[in-house]
Amino acid sequence: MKGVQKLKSISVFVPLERVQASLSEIGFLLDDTVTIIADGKFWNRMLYVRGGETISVSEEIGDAYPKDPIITICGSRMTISKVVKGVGG
Amino acid sequence: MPLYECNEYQFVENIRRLLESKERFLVNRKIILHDDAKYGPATMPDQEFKRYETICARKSVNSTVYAKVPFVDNFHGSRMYDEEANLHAASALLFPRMSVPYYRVEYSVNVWGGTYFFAFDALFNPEIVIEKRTGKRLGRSGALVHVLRYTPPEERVLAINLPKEVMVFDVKHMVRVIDHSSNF
Repeated sequence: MKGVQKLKSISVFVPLERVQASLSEIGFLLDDTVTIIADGKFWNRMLYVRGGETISVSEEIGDAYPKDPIITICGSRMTISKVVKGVGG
Repeated sequence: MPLYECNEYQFVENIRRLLESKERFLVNRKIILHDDAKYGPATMPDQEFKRYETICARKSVNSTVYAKVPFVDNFHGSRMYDEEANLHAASALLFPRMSVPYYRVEYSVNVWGGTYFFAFDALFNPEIVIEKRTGKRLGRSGALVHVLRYTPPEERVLAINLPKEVMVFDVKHMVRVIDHSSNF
């Protein structure tokens, strides 16, 4: 799996719940979370893992609108296309 | 050398473009612990502040934070706070009395004479427990008191996961060299 890994980051205007449901559907499990501060804003950064593939999802904390979680995928081409399709990208 | 700041999305997409171009490059990573009182409980969003609600209270974001109960901050040399102590004043938001340690994480890539970087701070995770402690204010026989501990976030959740062909070097500090050669 590690030999065919690709990289992709997307920023999508969809609710976090939809992103989480999409990741869960294809077998990614939440592994860890951390609160980070970037660009002067607080974000919840979540790490999802499936085998050797990882996806991190960062969403701004609070009532910010619009919410556009940043999804960074390090996985197979198939995983990337499934995630992008799942979140409507 | 120009320095360009990116957000996570931009930084990762730039790396992807470099990978696709077969350009050779190196990613540098710096993770440094800071405890400089940059982050205090008054300025945290509600979601983060909830993790401290056992020991402190506030009306809203940027309001003064008071201790609800006496507690010991284990990370900062077992500093003791009394009940109703002012932990972070609304009039001094830049100078919290109770502060949260954090890791400063910086990723950078040097390409074609420019440096592209993405940086963020990752807060330590609070853990509040009740322990029997002894001391000047707690008596020789000891007393039960709330204790605030901080645990650092795991490296795996701080890392930007990159394909194996991307080499990541850990560094302590980057010295910027000014290139005057183009002036002659």
